[in-house]
Amino acid sequence: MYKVHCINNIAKVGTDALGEGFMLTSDANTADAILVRSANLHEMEFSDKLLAIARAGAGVNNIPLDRCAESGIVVFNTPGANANGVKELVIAGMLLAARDICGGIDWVERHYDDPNVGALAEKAKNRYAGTELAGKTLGVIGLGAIGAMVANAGRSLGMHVLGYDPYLSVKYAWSLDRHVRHISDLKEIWAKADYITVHVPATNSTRGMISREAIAAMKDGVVVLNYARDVLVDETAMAEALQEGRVARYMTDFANANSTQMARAIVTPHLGASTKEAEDNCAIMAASEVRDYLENGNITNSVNFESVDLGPIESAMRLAVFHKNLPGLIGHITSAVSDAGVNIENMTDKSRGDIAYALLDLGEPLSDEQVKSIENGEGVLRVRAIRK
Amino acid sequence: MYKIHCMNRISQAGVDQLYGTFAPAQSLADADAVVVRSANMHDEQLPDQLLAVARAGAGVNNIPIDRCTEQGTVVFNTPGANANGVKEMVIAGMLLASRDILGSTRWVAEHADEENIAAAAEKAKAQFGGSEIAGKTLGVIGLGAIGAMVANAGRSLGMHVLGYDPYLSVKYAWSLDRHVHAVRNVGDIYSQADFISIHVPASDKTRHMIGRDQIAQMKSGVVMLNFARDVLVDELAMADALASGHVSRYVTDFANPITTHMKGAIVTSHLGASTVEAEDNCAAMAISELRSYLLEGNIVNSVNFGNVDLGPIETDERIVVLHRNIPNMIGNFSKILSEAHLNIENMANKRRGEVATTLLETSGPWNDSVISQIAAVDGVFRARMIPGL
Repeated sequence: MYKVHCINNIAKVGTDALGEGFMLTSDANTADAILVRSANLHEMEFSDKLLAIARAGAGVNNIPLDRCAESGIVVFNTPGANANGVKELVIAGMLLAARDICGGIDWVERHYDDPNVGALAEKAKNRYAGTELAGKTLGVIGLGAIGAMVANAGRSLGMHVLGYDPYLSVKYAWSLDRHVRHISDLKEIWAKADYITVHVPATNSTRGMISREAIAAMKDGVVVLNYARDVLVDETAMAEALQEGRVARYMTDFANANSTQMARAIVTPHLGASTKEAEDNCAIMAASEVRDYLENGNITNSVNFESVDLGPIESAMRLAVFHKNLPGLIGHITSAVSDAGVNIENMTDKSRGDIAYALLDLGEPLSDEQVKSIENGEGVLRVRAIRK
Repeated sequence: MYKIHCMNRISQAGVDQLYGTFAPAQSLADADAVVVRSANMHDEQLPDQLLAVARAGAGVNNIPIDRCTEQGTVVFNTPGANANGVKEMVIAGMLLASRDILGSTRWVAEHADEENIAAAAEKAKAQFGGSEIAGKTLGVIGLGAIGAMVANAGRSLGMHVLGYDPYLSVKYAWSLDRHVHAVRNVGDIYSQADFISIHVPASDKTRHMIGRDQIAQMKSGVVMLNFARDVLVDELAMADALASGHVSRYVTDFANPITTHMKGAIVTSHLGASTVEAEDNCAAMAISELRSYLLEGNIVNSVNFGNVDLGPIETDERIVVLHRNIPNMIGNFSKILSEAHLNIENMANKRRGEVATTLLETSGPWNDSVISQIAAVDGVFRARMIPGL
């Protein structure tokens, strides 16, 4: 029986998805896996028993990834599970930027007690008029799960769509509407787009990518949407551009000391994934990742290890070995198995940086002592022997 | 040169198109034709010479249609010109109803100066969460220019879409996504839809079509959207349904003393067609309708006379007659023309309810008296001759 500890409130459909052979525990020290949403784990001590942490959501800034990798703790996230929720908020953001719908609603609420509110609205409505999305140009930076959905939605709303992603995967390329034009130079987005939305992870290379220079190169009256991470945008430069009217609207899901003081910004309090469906999808996806890892040793959507998948266990024993990515280590593992007189039926080994993960399907089970001796080998960090 | 009076300010694109061919009128009294948006014309004196009123927009409640018909003034509207503008508002309405985006932006504004706003937002955000529209069922009542676009947009956003329109035209049927499921019984929409959007004109038949009984058939927690006309919905019944929570949101573009006092209503200030594009499209369409009627006698998108189109005038003259739809009218006209030794080259006649439009193209030596003779026939509202080029 595997034990799972939930740190945040995880949707019940998710914990139900763990299924037979799993139980929830309120004690993190006895848990094989932790399910977490946005709670900060940087200061948390992890028990030796802990095998996996699954983040129900995309961002993993709240988890100490390197420390986990060194301890052989696999960290998962759920990319794409909240994609539709974010996509719908981006569409709402574009529509609220195109016409001052919020201003119109506020006007009605201020005049709610006036018996002539209908006639007055006809006079006032010009102030809240605007433009339509159809026919405008949308630039999408980053075509992952969310960006690809946003690009397709733009197309279906009658927009011209420019997509930029130097690391575009086959999976998302496949999903894109064929009229989304794939461009290789961001300058083309700055020069042509009426709406620019950014959907890239926060890394050292993306920090501040919507820079002062980028903003200066954008069309007058552009709308910039940021439902990804606040650090992607130079918000000081954005505040100035809004003040001068060069950027018509900054739609951001990140309330901070900069964004809340900006003229013409519409700021939501991180609602992108705040839908029941996104929370359910994230929880279900996190649970199924944990289940497949604990039961089979397979890794899907890890942020600190590569994906490894040997399918369900068909052999007598599956050995999962975390080891340093050094010459001769694979040889050490395989010869230890053959010294025990056991045949290796399937094997895969993937490295990321300094650390690698091997899965071996064995014809016969190893004894506890034989497993222990592999684990004690130089450069081996952790070994799990999983029986069918 | 025909003189045109604009009752409302129209977009520059429209003005540019107008005054190449026509002259501005000093006032309504002086006008051969009128372009109007939402100005109320019910209390206006309509001059005898007024040939046409073109409404840049869809609704014609602000125009005295019966009076216009009786004096042979053709009233036009511009259906579909604002359709995309309204469609985008409906999408915004669905999204604003699904998640409390409005409440959340207000929360941020109220806490703008708080030191730890980002951390506070993470705690506060749960109260503004909601659901997604993908996977939900949208019911669209009325599949004209706007309804058809809304239905297709629902599909492209991943919704199941049910459409109801007993008068569906081939044109809009053709435009519909094939996954829009046509229902024969509007009750299927009430019982199945999570979102219901209504896009029908206001008439005696459609007034209060969303009444107490219909609301009672709807799913609990339904979102009702009304970007068409406020009279379509029995708003007192809607207010009760919102108060009880049976309807979760009423999103309406019509502010009135009932809607502004509803609990859980999202009321916009009639912004459906308030976009630059919609205004340009409406003005351009209204003016092209006027141009076609004044210069050629062809009628497209009239709300009081039948549509007729004989194309450009290729004979010496074309006679336009607006008249009651009663027996022997065409016999009377052809008798007058043959007595004047004019041959009828082409003819088109189209009835609409109690009235009809007849276009006649003649050849032979023209005689001005035929127009006064035709106009004198009992049941004729107006007769006019347009010389060919």
